[in-house]
Amino acid sequence: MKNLVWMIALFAAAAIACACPALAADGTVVWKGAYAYDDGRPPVQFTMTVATKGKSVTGKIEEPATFGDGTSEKLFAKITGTAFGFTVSFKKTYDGTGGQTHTVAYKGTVDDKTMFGVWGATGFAGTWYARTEK
Amino acid sequence: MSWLRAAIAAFALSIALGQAGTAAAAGMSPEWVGAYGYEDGRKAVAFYLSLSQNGEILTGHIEETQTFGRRSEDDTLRAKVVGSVDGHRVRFTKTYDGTGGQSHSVTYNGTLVVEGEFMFMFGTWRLGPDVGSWFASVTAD
Repeated sequence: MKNLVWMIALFAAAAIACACPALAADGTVVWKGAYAYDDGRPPVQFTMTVATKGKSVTGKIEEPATFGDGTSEKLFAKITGTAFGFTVSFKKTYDGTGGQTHTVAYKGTVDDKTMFGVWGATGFAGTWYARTEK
Repeated sequence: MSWLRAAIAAFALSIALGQAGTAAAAGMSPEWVGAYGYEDGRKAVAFYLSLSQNGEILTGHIEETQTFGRRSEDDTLRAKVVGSVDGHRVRFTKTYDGTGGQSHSVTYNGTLVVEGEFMFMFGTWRLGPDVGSWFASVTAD
């Protein structure tokens, strides 16, 4: 009977481990996605490289320049945030390219291959989605 | 150029849905795969979405992992979908069919993005004061 209890406990632990989202594991992963505005203007596709260490999330985003001073065809941003359980949140700060240095807050739900949620910046808001094919 | 991108997105959706219909007739899966999330950090709820398009009108149905209601035989909730697509903007109402004692409606708004044969939609859902986000994707092969 005692062995049975241990087997059940081990099985449950394995099941919980398998349910952990991708960002729980340390490493660097490339995600592709898009963000959309609540006001209905066209979505913007992006590529996001995310490195995780424990709960910490850092990385960079590259996207076509759909705003800014017109000096660059692309915009670049750094991200820093946290991922815990099924929740991910990070701040995306543009690196100055195209004259853009503002910060956008992202929050969402994450599993092993997708992230999706909402974003907000001063005067703007919308939704986003990203996937990885790892 | 936004109107052109919107037209291309709508055309691609039309093609994908047409191919999905063909796949259904051939017994293949035409389904979009997606999930919806809550703002309180709960695990996302996975769903399959079958869609048909007639002009701007969308109809279809959803099967999702049951996470509320009276337990159903196969732990699945089912809902009908009625909505519209206008360029890259998608909206539909999902109404549960009574399985698990659930018959309420949820409003979905989203954005459609086409990456070659891969397409995805994402946005927000709303049920009274409750709101969350969602996505669905499909490969038109």
